[in-house]
Amino acid sequence: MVKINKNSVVGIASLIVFMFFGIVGVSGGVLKYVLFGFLHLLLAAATFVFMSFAVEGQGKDRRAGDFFWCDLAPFALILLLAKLVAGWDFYIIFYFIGMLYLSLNETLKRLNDGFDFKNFEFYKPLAVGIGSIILYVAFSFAGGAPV
Amino acid sequence: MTNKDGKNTGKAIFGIADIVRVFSSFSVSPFKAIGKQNAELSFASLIVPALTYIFFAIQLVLDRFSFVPTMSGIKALLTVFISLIVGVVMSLVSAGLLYAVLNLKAIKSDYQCILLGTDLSYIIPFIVVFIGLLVRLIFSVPTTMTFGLSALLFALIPYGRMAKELLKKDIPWYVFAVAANGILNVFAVNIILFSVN
Repeated sequence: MVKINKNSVVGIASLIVFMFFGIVGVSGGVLKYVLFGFLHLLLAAATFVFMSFAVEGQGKDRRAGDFFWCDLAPFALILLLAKLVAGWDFYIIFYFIGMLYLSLNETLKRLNDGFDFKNFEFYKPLAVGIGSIILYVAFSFAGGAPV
Repeated sequence: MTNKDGKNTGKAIFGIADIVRVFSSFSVSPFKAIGKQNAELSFASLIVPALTYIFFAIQLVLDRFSFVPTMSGIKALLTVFISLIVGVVMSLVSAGLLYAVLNLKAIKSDYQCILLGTDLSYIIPFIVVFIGLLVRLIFSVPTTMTFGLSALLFALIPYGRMAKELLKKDIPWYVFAVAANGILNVFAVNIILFSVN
């Protein structure tokens, strides 16, 4: 029987919600939709792979049992409900705060684990998180997102 | 820092890591910084979320004055007053929500401690909103979304860390508590937006 990693499922589902809103927010022709759809999917895949590596790829697999993607899940839920119930159109801010929370949380955990500022392992999750936010904001602005 | 022989150990008494640790425990992980001995401060500290919402409302009102010709001074004052009430009520309700979830899970908790933690989670949002207001006043650029709304949502980060700690990493309930608080935040902002329209 295939064992499903719940942490990964939550992460992929949350990223799909954010990327779906990113693609829906694109305004323009079909070609633009296809291009930005592809870019958003690429960003989701890259974020998932790099963040998983940054958090879990410590050699000792220290964080494998930690549901770190669950820090992003509430923000995907809030975005869904804010759109469906309150009719909010801006979605970038939810990704910004959600990803910042995820990466900040993992970085602070490293501080408590005794990593120091000179160690790149300390900055890895923050670097992935900030990079992902910058790309998401850039794609959203280039795609004509309502901000 | 020197050891008992008077030799320099090379360690700073209070290094950058310690400063970050202390600041993060107060503002990013508020529950680590609070205890029952500070619980009586919980209602006094309601001033932090109240001021955060007031500064958000002032930015919103200033933006409206720039773009909406029918905006009046009375409406602006009313919006600021409503935001004061919304800020206080939001903090009380957010703390109540977490308290209710903890009671449902049969985890012993103290409402005043949770309220103090919730209030402290607005420290960074307060600083960000204040900077946003200064930027708005100096450069006359709209800052309601960039500084205001992102700061209010940032309060979910310390709140989430506190919820995770209190719920002993019970993931479904933790996700529920943070998401429910986020939705409350969205409705609180909607009330302020409604009052200014």
